[in-house]
Amino acid sequence: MPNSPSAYLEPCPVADLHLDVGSRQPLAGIGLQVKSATIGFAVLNRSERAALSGTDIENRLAGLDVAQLEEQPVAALAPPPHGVAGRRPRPRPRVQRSGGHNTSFFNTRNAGLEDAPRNPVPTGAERQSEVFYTEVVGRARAAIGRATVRTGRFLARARAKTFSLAASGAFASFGVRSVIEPPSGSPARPTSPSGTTSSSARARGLQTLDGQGHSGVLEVGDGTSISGQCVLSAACSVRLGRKVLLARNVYISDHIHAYDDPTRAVLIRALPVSNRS
Amino acid sequence: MIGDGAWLGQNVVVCPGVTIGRGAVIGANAVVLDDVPDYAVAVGVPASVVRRFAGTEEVAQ
Repeated sequence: MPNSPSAYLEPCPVADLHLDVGSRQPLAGIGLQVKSATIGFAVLNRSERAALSGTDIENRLAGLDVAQLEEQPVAALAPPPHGVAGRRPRPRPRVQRSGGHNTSFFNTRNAGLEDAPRNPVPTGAERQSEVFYTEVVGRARAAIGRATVRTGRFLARARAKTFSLAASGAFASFGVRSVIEPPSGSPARPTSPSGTTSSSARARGLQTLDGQGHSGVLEVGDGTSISGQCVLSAACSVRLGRKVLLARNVYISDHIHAYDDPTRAVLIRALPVSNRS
Repeated sequence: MIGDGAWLGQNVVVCPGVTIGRGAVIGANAVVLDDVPDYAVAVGVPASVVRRFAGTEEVAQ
């Protein structure tokens, strides 16, 4: 075997190359430390391409010449004008077609396509104006949205405060800063008689029951927050302390339907009040 | 009666005659059938006390 590395470019068996590369020492005469495996690998690839062109399964085109493929080289794709995402192509303008008969002197299809702009590329000024327009519109929409939300909240608070002032007379005592929102939604069941302490026209809300030996008292402490769709029903006494927090759909009641006599309908029975209250 | 500083979660049902103590926390969807002591956490159907804040009674007083 030759000693110079350039001799490995000639076709030769792969096994011999492996054996020779494995026994090669670093180039001590030059003073350069080069791994023999690296050199052997590079030379081995060149030798394989020359000797075994087309036989390698993983790299069949390694030894083939481009001219032998008789294929035209493909030019590299140009980068999109507006980044990687690019812009969607504009729809082609609709062409006025006569109903199957070309009675006009000009061909309408060709005439329409010639008039249409082909692949318009916006200039720098157009791009800047488009970005400016997008930013301005986005900021305007955000400002309008925030103003709408604030206005809605303000109107809701004003409506609740107005309702509270109007309904405060129905309560035995009503705090100055207390706010009751008007009931919303359809009642779940017929309204009950209003009490002297608090009343509510809806089944969902604050409710006291009077009559038939009942005199409901509903007391809510200072700083208590009651979320929507809560039911506080008092036939005798329901008391909420100070700074109580109720989430939505909380149901608090001191009475329940009587069901001791199964022969009578529950709806027409009196409401037994719990003795533990 | 609901004590001061109590917190009732969503969809909680408090049955008649039940007293919830001060600072008690009732978990969501719980149905309270019995009294809940002060500074206790009750959850479930029926609600049962699962935790009590030790030492908070002295602090509250």
